[in-house]
Amino acid sequence: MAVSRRRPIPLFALAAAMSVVAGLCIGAFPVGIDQLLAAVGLSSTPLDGTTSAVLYAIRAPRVLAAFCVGAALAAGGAAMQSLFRNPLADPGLLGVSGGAALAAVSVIVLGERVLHFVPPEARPWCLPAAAFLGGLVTTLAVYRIAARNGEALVGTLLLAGIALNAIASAGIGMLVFVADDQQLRTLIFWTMGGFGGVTWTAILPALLVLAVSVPALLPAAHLLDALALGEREAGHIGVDVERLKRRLVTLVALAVGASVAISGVVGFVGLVTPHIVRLLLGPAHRTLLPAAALFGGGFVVLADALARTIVTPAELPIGVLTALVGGPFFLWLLAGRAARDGL
Amino acid sequence: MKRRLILGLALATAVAPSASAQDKPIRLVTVGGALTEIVYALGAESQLVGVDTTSLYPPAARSLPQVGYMRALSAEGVLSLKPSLVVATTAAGPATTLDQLRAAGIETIVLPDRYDYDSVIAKVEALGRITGKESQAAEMIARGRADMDKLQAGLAGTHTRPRVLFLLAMGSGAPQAAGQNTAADGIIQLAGGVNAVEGYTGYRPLTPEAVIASRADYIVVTQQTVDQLGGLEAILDQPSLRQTPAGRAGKVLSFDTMLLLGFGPRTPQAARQLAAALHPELAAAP
Amino acid sequence: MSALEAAGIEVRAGARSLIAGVSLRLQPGEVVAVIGPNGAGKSTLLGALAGDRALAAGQVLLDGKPLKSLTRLLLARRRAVMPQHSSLAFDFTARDVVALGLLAHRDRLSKQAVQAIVEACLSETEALAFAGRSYTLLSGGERQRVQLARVLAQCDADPTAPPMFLLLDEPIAGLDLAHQHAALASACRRADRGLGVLAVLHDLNMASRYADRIAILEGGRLTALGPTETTLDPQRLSAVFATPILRVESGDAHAFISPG
Repeated sequence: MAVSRRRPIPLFALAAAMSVVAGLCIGAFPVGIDQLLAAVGLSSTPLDGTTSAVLYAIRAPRVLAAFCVGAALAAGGAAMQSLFRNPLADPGLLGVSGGAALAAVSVIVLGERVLHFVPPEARPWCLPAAAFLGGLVTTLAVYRIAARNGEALVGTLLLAGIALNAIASAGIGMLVFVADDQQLRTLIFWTMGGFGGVTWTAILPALLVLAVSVPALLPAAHLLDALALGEREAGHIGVDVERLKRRLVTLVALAVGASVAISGVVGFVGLVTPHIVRLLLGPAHRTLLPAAALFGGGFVVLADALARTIVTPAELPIGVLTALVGGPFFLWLLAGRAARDGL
Repeated sequence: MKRRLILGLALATAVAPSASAQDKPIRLVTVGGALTEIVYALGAESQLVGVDTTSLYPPAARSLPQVGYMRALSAEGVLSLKPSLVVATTAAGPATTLDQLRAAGIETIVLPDRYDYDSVIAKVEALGRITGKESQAAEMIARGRADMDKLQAGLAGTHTRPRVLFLLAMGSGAPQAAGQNTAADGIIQLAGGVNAVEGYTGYRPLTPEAVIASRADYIVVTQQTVDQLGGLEAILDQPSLRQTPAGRAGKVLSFDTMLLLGFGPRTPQAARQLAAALHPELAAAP
Repeated sequence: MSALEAAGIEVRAGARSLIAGVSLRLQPGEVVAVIGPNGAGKSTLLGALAGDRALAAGQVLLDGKPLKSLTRLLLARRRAVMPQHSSLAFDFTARDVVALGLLAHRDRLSKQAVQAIVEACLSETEALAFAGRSYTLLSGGERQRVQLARVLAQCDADPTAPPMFLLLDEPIAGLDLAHQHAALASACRRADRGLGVLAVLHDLNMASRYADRIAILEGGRLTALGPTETTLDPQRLSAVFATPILRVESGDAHAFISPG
């Protein structure tokens, strides 16, 4: 193993920090490292107004948002894979992304009439707030459907999540049909994900939610390990499985909902990142969760940097890039499993 | 007249802060083909450092650095040209990009894009003020006014208001027709016609029944559409179109997109050409 | 007196009764073997004693308190369960799996203490040789020894605590003879240290050799409960298992054989 198993987290943190620096420097508007250092007061290089403005008003919120979203999706993905005891699980399985997408698309297409009642200062938050609430409500519905006598079978959770995602897709399809040109364009960019419109005010509420929900996953690390034995055995060794499920479902819904509110739907990060980290560090959640968060954050920052430089001056939706990397990886993963299980 | 005055005042207040910017050399980015055209027509193209993908006229504009598609701008793309001023129309977006530009300290002016001739005058006035070419702007406005007045006088003498259907995206599925509040609708009215479809704004796909119900006397498409389908005759291949008065009489007109829909300095020219096609009797007049 | 007791319990699956009217008191220091034909309800009884089953009638009491009143964590410190089948969703090592047995004692034990208990139990089940390997790559027998080690670790976590109860569901099914004896010997050692052990067994000889008491389940009912010597009566066994069973003596040893 190239990666030291002894102190892996500092290494991951270093890599994440390097991605953040790269993300801050790369772009259609190039920023040199010396200018970056000057911006944080570590260098005496003169910093002109535009560079400073680009860094503070555009790059910094964008890179921070990308990192937080990547971290949230990766940690959420690891938690979901443990909950479903299936390495193919994705944080959006519980219907969060479907519900969030439907809510956001509804606001985009139907919102004009309702927006009149919203004070202008609050309007930029309508879309993210709707996405967040849509995701939460859908997850709540999924959990309620699956819960019987205080017990929520993961198999039922999964099916209910799939069903609600399908219903959300149908809803989105109908809205796409009645959308006009402008709305369609906004909608498409939103469902494919992107950090293009990120400003400080837009992302602050969502970042707060992430700051609360993602770290809250970490103390559950040993409980998540226990889930690998199966719910019954985990119960035998002392885990309150139903309470753990409720906690996980809530935290992941909050984290993914907030992520979707910031950047739209970004696929594959939650699926692929935990895998890579497991391959490198093993499945113990004490290292898996923080490492996945750091790796996911760095990965999305770099993907975003690529998204805004490959077809400059335009920007690729980030979902396209993560899928381009994630899709083939997913296939490779399946092939590996098939070979190992002798299929 | 009064509306023009109010609009002009509103724009003057919006543009006023940039008066001081005239001391430094202006690095201007225009987003919207009409705005770019106006800058060239005013002779201020030396101040341009970047344009968007809809800025196709004059051809010289195509060689300027690009900032991307008008409705999908990226803040960094614009900023990499280090502009001092960005002028766009309300069609430009997304709104968050314009906010980011302002947050980065770049003055960003958004001009209203209503599809009538008054808004063209307002754009010319504003850009004249911004680029310091007020006298050229005034001259352009005077000439344009004269052209439009002459056209309106001629149209006053005609007896018909032909029903005109403007179609877009004809290649795949149902064609999209222009409803109210579109550039096509605006130019049709200026040319003394009536939009064959009503009851909605923007572009909507038309079912074959709706096409027939429009009873269009003329069908107008862009040159781009004609090229895409391979000729004017191909347009009439649609059975529903053949059932309209326009289809039966073979009255399909095509124009260059920016000319017809740009609502820039060539608007009087476009209106005149369309009017001549809709009202053959005008062509006879001097 | 400490005990894990099933008092007249009934477990249903829908309208069907899986076990009914079963009363059994497991006490510290003894090994009880539960035997019976397939479908008799042995695993159901073990599950009920473990606290996994909703009861249609009766109660399961730990030291006189109903199981329902105890938290999962408290229960884990008083009873350990070795399942019939086990799976592991991710690539943990055998050592990691054994360490999971000490989850309920995380707050109490230092890392070294955990490691010590884990190594000791791995050694006891002769699983040290593959302790660092990925559990998912182990053979069935090896996995079973790892699971046993996990369960033993859970039992050994707190020697000062009130007596624990060890429930084993067919613990020797996949093991070779030597390891079968070793596994049950481990269970007996725990009983000697004061634990109450209950094991579901198919092998009458193993039951006869290691158990103090035998419980016979037939069709969901407890038809016999008593000392091994008297309860394992060949005539009764033949009736229970619907096949002739003979007891054969050889010197000090005896065995049950089924000629078929």
